[in-house]
Amino acid sequence: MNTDLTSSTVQETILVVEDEVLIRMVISEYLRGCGYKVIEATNSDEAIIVLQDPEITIDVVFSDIEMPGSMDGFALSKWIRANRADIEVILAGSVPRAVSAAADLCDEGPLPKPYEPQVVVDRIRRLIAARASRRKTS
Amino acid sequence: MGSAHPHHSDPLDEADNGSATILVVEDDVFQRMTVAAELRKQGYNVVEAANADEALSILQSGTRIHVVFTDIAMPGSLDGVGLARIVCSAFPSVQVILTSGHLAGTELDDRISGFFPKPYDVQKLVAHIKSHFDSRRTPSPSAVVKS
Repeated sequence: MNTDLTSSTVQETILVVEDEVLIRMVISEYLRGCGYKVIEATNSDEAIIVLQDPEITIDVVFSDIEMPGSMDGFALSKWIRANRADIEVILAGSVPRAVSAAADLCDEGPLPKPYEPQVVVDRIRRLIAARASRRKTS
Repeated sequence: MGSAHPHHSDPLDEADNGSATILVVEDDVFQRMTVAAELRKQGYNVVEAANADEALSILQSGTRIHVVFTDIAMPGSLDGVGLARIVCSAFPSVQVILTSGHLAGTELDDRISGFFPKPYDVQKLVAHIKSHFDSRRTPSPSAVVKS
């Protein structure tokens, strides 16, 4: 099967990791509507499969914190920091304790659920702009 | 199950060429990602589900779906055949297409629109979906107005 998933370098790609399908569907569609390329993963295991593919460029991972599977959002974030430090991470969660703990794992702190999709887009834009700025100065 | 679904009208009322919404149900993230990307490239709206339970959640949410393209062998409470049976009975206006890497001798519902053995050519899948909508748009001879 052919795909152009890897061919574009202009359009940023967001990996959305969310086990609640209706939430994943809504935020993914919103991000696509904003012009982003979106890859959907239902849990951290799927996300890592995607992240380990050298032909797929991911700019930002937007992940739920509480997820079933071998890793929750915290563990996924740590994995990304260790293995794909070039990728920005945004965590979102609905448990106050989890949200608080996530502050150490993503640059601007976590997004509490429920979130407004535009808040996610604003965060993505800031992270991508900050990354571009860092690359210019380095 | 279907009673909560607000849309049971003919999908052709909404599914103009390339604007139909396709629900891709596939537990393999790469296959799901690939076929979804190709279908979006062709202009379709695509909703992704990783298993039958997710697919039913989407259908029951009232999201307008015109085509369900589902893998057969999937983990969860239902496989693709079970999902297809529910869709055919509860959402009769939705076209169902199955795919599998195993040519099991499963008897499929007559209302199943198509079966694509893996690995399948996404272009052929797109052509199949298009031909389905085109054939349903073609007026029957009795409906042709004679001049």
